[in-house]
Amino acid sequence: MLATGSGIASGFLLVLQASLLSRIVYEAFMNHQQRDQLLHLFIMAVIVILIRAGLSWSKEVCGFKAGSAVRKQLRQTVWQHLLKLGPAATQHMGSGAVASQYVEQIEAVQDFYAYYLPQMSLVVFIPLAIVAFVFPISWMAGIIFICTAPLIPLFMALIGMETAKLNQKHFQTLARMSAKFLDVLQGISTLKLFNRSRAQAKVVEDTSEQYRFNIMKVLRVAFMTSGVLELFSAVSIALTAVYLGLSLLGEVHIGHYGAALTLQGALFILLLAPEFYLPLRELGTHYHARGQALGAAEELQKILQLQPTTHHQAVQSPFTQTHQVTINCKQLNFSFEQQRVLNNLDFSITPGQHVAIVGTSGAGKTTLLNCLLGFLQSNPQQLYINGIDITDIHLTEWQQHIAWLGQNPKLFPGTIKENLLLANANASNEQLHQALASAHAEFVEQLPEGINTPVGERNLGLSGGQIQRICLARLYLRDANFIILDEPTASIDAESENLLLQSITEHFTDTTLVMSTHRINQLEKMDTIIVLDNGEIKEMGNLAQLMEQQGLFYQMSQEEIIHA
Amino acid sequence: MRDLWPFIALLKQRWTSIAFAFFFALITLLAGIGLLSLAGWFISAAAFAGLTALSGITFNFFMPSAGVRFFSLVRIGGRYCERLFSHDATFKILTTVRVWLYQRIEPIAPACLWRYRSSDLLNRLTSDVNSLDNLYLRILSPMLAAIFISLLMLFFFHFFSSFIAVFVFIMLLATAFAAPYISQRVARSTGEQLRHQTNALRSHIIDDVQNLTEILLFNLQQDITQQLANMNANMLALQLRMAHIKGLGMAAITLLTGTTFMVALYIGVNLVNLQLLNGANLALIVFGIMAAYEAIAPLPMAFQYLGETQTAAKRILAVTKEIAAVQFPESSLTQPQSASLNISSLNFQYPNSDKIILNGFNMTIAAGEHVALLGPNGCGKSTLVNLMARFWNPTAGEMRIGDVDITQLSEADLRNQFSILNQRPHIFNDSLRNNLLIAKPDASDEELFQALDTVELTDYVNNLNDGLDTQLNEAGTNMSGGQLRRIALARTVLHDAPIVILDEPTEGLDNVTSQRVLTKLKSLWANKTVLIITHRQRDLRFVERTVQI
Repeated sequence: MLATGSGIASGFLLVLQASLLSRIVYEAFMNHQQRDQLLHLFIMAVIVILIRAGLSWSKEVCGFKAGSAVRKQLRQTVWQHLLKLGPAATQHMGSGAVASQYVEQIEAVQDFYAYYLPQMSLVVFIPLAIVAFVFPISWMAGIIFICTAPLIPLFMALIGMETAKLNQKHFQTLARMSAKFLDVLQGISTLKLFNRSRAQAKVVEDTSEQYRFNIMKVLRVAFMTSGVLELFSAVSIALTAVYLGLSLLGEVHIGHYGAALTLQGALFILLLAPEFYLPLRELGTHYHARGQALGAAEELQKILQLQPTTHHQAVQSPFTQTHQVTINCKQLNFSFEQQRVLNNLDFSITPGQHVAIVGTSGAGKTTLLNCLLGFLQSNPQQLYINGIDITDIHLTEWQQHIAWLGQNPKLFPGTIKENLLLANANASNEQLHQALASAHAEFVEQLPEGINTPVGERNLGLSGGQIQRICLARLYLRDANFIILDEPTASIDAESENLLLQSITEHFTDTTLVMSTHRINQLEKMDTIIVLDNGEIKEMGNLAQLMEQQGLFYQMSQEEIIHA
Repeated sequence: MRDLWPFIALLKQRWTSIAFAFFFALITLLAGIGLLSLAGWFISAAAFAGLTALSGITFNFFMPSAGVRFFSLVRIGGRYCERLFSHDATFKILTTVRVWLYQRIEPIAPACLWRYRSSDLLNRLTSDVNSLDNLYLRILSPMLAAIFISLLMLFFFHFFSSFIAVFVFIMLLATAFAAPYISQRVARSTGEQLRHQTNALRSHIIDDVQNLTEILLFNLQQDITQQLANMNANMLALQLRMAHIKGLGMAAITLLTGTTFMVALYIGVNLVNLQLLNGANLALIVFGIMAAYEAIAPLPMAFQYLGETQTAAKRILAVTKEIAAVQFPESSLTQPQSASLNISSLNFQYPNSDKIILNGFNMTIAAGEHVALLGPNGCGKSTLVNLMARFWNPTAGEMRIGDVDITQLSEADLRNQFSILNQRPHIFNDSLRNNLLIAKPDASDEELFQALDTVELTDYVNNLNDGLDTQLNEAGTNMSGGQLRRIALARTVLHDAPIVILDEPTEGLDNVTSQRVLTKLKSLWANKTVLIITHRQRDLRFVERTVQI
């Protein structure tokens, strides 16, 4: 609003400035006034210019503030929504995509509020104001302007459609050209192997030229539209000038209420003629902001329209039975976007039991774990924790009893010690060192600053395996009764895998543990292996039993990586 | 500007298109100035002549009014041609830059591109090329035009008053160059901080999304929300400072423009008083200044683009300045007489890494032998393939085909010795046919179908609506990883070299298909030397012996 106000005020001052300029020329030329006699006009003009300079500053800043308020609100909304959606949904979207929506897409809204909206008001207001000032001097000149004025909405629509179409075409062509180029660069080693890489320069050139040829065909027509706009503004200026000239010569006598048209009036009108069309032209340059904002809104909708799947019931039983955890799955089903992801799962996990869930990616392992964690809501009477239906349990309380380790954990910015304390704020230093030792993270002690070593953003300086061990130590510190491991060794080498799995099974002898994995060697220590395929339990038993059955598990073991 | 010179030099290749575009840009600007100046002069002179009835009749209004209409039509035509030619030139320039960049990268690839692979840097490189289109369209052309217009005004106004002419000239240049340059300089450090802050916010949200489970399980929602709010506030504060700088820049331009009008008028009125200047020309000067300022209006944007384009140019140049990891002799010194493979005491570690990947590796494969190479993850099996393809040079040791050291072979001859399926073969966003023809450009459809038959894809391709012309892009077809793998295998069949090296040939294939494909390949390549690098038990049935790495 303030930005629009600054723009309109600036428009008025522009009219005033034009009137002062024309007055000065008129007085000096026609009335032979001395410069000193015109000094007050000069001073007024300087003041007008100073105020206009201030207004163009405030227009910029006010426009920015309008946009930044919107962005601040949007970021908060998106983040709160992400927290409600939980990891089950965000895993699906990918962190890169979410980050681009949270940062870039929300940034893309800025120009719409800062420039486009204020300009929309100016486009209507400034031409009207100019006409209002021109009319009292010469209705004929006013008519010339007005004849084009009803065309303004038409122009706006035309410019809008044309710019949108043009940007889109231009952008698509550019995108396709660069996609092709990127494709060649990515495939350059393949091309080299077949001795084709040098010849490919010609292909790069040909495709690039082909795209140019296509887009130019479109542009030749598209530029016509804006040519018409130019035509209107140029013809209208020329027409005004010729009319004013002829009136002053006395060749034309209509249009100025019978009185003679003065040079001052004529110059004033001519100075304003280009300004009449200027806001319209500027709108064209801001038009892409609208398209950008629309695109961003569409992208953001992709997050905001997702409904959280977890329940928030008013009455939930507190979850206090803690020491041992029993899980009962009775015909557990889960569907995502009308597709069955889990299909009639039937199994129980007794206290202290260690269970592995095995299957190819897409078999439903992570979905099952998310149901256990409460990040995905299962149907009532299908999943019981210690005999209580999970849909009746207070989720946050249940989650306090779980310790979880994923396949690619990240540390929070801060020291290693701070990261460990997240699991148990009261842990003594001795406990910390012990946990690190059990997790085979002795390397921490050798760091110059030991457990007080800061781990910055992006976990600089630590390898994936090392981070995994620190997170394992954190797991040990958390006094949990139920352990969930989601492919904990997927991103580390075989040697570390052995060490970690051994450490885990030894540490949690009496604690209920569920681990998903797609690697199927080294499962001897697990009490039960559940083989999932397409959301169904195909086989269940311990390693020896499953190998004996020669079923799906056996087949998978044949395709398994050979550990030399 | 130094970083832009190589690219400005590239513009020379397209100088005719650029000259046309610039010619029309100038015509348009000149017509605009002519239109307003003439109109201003015309009505002033007309007003003066109209004072006495007699001179009003003798005043030749035909010429000026025709001139006004002429200029306005020229401006419209000029603008249309300018837009057309400048866009055409821009697309031509992009072609030139792409070909140039490709020819620079081709000899140093893939070693220099390797580290770009995992990240989005390669993606950024392509968009950097795109941002070079600003170089002519939005930077050079407006700048040249501004200089030209300023000089023109200097020349034009000196007929009336050399003092006004010099003053307007200086003010035009100051508004066009000094003001945007200064605000660009002032904004530079804030812009740098802003980029850091934006990147920090981005990595924070990425971490938060990846850590969402921990955040919820450890009850950290409030802390993280607060951290994000703080980072966002910091970013907005920096952006506000940028808005102030930009706003002040705009204010400076308004001030400079206004000052030019007022000072020129102040001097002009005095000259009119002293009868040194015709009053009609005073109007001409005012309108001339107005039109000249319209012509330099795009300059502040040009400076903004200049910053971005320089950064893009710097990144592109950094890539092209890398030195090729491997040099090939122009022509082979000798030709191998047999297809045996002999690797002795091979050492390798990547530059700038202390991890030793291969340490004294030895392997001999007789001509016609089929061997499998086994080893755990990360032990250097795929590196070995890259060394044999001479994507890198080993740190020590040698590799021989027949009895010829592979460093003695020209690139073309080396490629003809090997048919290699590497770990991640690239499937191009192109038709199936073109994807296969890479391996053998002159192959007939019959040959292509024979190769497809070997990899058990004939039925699949025959069932496709477009057959060999099917586009293999991410969106267009639903090809599985196993099918894409077999297309890559078909290429190695087509390439038909004496030594075949397959890195994980059956990845993504089910047991039945992989058995069938390997059986066919075994008989097809009975007389060739074959090395299969594999993780999988099932692949071992097709070799005569295995080697551990």
